[in-house]
Amino acid sequence: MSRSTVADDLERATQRAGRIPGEPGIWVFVLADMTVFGAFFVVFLVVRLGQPEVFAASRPSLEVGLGLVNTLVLITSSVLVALGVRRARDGQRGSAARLVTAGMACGLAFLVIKVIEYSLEVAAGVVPTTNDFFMYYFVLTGIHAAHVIMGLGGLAAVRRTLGRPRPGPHDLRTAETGATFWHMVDALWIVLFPLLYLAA
Amino acid sequence: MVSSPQRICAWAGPVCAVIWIVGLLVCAHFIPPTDPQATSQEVATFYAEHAVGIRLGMVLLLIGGVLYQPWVSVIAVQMKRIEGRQPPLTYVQFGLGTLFVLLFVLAAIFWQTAAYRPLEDVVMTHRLDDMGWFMFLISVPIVTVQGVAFALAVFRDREERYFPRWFGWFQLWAQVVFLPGTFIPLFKDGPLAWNGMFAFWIPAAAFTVWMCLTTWALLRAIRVEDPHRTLETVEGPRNSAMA
Repeated sequence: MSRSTVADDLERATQRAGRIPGEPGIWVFVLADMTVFGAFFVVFLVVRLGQPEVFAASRPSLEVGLGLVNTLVLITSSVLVALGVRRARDGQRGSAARLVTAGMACGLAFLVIKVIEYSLEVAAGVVPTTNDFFMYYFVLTGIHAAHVIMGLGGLAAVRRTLGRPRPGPHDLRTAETGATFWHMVDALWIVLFPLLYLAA
Repeated sequence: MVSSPQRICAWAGPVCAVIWIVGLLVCAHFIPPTDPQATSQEVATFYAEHAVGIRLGMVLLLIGGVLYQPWVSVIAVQMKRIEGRQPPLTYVQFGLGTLFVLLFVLAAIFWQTAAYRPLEDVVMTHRLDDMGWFMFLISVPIVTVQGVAFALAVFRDREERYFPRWFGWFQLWAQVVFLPGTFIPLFKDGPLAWNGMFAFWIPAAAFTVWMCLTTWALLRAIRVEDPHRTLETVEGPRNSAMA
């Protein structure tokens, strides 16, 4: 069995036109959850519209460097998990499980950096009750962090499935389902990061 | 044969949701909720102005809360069909769902007490209003674990005989949306205060959708014939005819 390339993936995708990665139900969760986050972002923007000076003055207090590192960590994690799923498709279960483990390690690193970031901010006297900007910063990143924890739970299940000595009929579907959720967690952060740390 | 007690129990869900909405919104004027930053005098005045409406609304909240139990029971019956003879998830769902009734009953009692003598001691009225909102919203983990148990049972239904798998994912999603409610004691203002967007409005909207879709899934599952039961029903009348 050869390792597949992006071209192979594309070819396979066209062959299986209409096939949904993972089980279809996970997409119900993903689309519903992204709708809720969409509502969160709208609420944030509406509040910002009411007090642009407060939001502009508060943003520099965030740790932009750590936020950027975390963005890269999460993107790396997503890539590792995607590569893992590709290996699983090729039947290379051991190597797939190792890639998912590496992806999980990045996810844990994200949480550790997030905790460091929170403690730096709290040490500098910034808490959710400081003003509306920090309220939304802590609440939105907190809810996102809860999703990271859930996503890690999903990846742990994927790892367990791929680690079994005998392949089962639903293994690939399980791997794709866990990966789909993980990519959503990544995608949400990619919106959150510029929205909170960068947008003027 | 379609079981009619089960269908009655399933319909108790939407009926209780309608009773809650009429009680809280129309009678008690509790939607939007009291502002957590209002003074005791303001809260007591609100209670005094709407005293009769609040009393009637709380009677309805309590009745609606009790009707939640038949709905929980029919969920348990359908879960047990999936789980078989050793059904731990069914018991988790049934136990926590039944406990959830109490949070409507207790919230109604606190708010009822506040509305009984609203102006005699305004600070007491204010505290009872606080207690009512806490009772009503911070107990969300009860329904979260109830819903997660239901979702896990749905995932065990591999052939999608009773419930579609996407419904299990929908269950999980709803629980994620409800969860912020449990953090309201940390905030008096903003999206996680008890009148906030993330702790009240979005979860309340999701809860309504959740009750409707769950009822739809229950009515659908009730219609599914049990292969073992069709045998019994065929044999049943024959035996009684012979007797």
